[in-house]
Amino acid sequence: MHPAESWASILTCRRALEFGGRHLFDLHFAERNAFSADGNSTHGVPNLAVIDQYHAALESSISRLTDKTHGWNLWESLPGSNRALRDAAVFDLGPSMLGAAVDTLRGTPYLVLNTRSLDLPEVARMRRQATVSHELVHLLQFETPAYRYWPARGRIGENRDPNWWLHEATALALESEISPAPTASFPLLWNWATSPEQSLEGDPYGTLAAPFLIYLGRRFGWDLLADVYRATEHDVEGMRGVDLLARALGRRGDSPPDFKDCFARGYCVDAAFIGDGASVLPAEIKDVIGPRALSGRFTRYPVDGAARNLVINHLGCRYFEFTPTQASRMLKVQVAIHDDADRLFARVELVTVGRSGLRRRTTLSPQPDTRLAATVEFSSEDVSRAVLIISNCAYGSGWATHDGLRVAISAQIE
Amino acid sequence: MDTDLRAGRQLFRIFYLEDDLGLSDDLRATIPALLPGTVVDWAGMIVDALDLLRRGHEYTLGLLDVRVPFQANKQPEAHPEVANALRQRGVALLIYSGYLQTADVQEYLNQKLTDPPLAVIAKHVGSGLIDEIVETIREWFVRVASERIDRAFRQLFDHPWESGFSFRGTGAVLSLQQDIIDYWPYLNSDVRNLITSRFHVQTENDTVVDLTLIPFAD
Repeated sequence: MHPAESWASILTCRRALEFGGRHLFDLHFAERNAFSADGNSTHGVPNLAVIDQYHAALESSISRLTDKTHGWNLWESLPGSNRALRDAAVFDLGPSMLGAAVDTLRGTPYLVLNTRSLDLPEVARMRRQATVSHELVHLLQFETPAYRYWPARGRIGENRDPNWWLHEATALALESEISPAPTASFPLLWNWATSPEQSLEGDPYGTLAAPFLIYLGRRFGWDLLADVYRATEHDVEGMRGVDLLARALGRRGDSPPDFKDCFARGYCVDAAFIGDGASVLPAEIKDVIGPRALSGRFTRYPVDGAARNLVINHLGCRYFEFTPTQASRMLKVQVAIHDDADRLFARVELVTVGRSGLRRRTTLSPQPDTRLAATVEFSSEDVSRAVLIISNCAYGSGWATHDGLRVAISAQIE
Repeated sequence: MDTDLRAGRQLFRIFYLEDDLGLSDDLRATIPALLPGTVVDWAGMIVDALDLLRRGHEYTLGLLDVRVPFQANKQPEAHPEVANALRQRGVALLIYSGYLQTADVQEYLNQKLTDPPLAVIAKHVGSGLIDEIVETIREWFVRVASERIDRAFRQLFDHPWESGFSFRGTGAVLSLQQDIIDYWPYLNSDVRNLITSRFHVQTENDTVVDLTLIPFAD
């Protein structure tokens, strides 16, 4: 049975959405009738402005997602069918859910959107816009090999599929890019800000990975995310979410960026300075949830073997801040990696921030005693602070993914 | 010692301790056949059972004969180690024995278990024993599956959304749908009614073939 037939008895109104000369969506809904006993009193929208908002958000989101910048493909038309390519039903989904894209066993996937207002009117309007953008991304994902052919496809959904975080992070990142309410999801990034040492694969809701995908989109082009989902069935077999990301990144241009460098030297560094003029990540993230957490701040020197008990999970990082003193001219930082095997995966960067705000990044280099070290200018007249960024790039299949990177930090000034 | 899942997703995992090879072979074949989605991990003596437990699998049920040898070439005795290890993990126990009235088995049942078992069955000769065990397991699976779906269902549709810190959407709906499809044969009528208040459910031979989210009836 077509989904629309299941809704027909209650959702008696329909509004079509045409796009590019095609009948793309039908929005199914009912108008609220408080005296009706046929379900409209519960499921009907209180006024048609709700439908106008959903309709406009669908139209603008489709337009943005399928433009050259974002690169998503729309669904193929079915020959001889006069139905819309997709359906969206607006009814009461309860107090827990804003909306969802629903994949089916036999029918065509569809959207459900909540009649209920879960916030004050202005916020509710923004959430409707953001929800449509987010769920539309899922609806497009459903048609892709990365969704259809993943080895874990038998385990569908947020608590089963180990790659579900990629689907959600992609939807969150694109929601922030294309939605008229780009900041609606930023409160969900709280753990990303407070626990940078957690792996970006660490939550199925994608909130730990979404900023990385926003960074990739802004830095290398938003169509990168569509490219991730353009992998073939053969590509997808045996690959995890991070592998697909790395693979898509490795196909950008003639001299593609290295994934680990991009993560450690690009994204993790950028995320430490979110909100300053040079940061790739949107400043609004910091406005909503504040800066990423520091794991240590050093104002007295020497520092000897600090942070020994702190761990960094794979594709996570930690930040440590050094403040210059009146007498300091140079800062020497040494980092000892606790486990020999982790030396391959640890990336350590030291960034000084000048009084003018200018950043200078230095990669710590291996020393004869196996520690990583760097010496940078550290005059309080010229430098306001230095930030040490330690990243764990141990990702991949099986043994290659390694959590629990531990280090010891030493520092002295001259 | 593990029986592989022949087809489909693993829904339940049983820890099985039995030194009678004839009976254990029968049950290891019968349980997955009559209760699809069930994996049976079997051990014939206490040392093997403790090894198996160290693998860290999560079990839905412990199916235990009381008198089994501790190790090879030892006589069967009532050792409570495995039962207690399972109970400490919160695993329900289905215990059977041909010697329920003997002192050692009574002590095993009355004093050494941290919690009372789900059921105790008297071991007897004939096919009736296997039927009784399978039916008891089925009843437990129905309870476990129904509680699981009921909880997930209410979390998705009834719990107020906590702004900023949690949200429910596509991932939760698809998880619930997959659970409904997988566990449908094990769901009690109350939970099936709950599901059909929100989903149009199409079934063939008691198997879900399609689901559509629908406006619930007033």
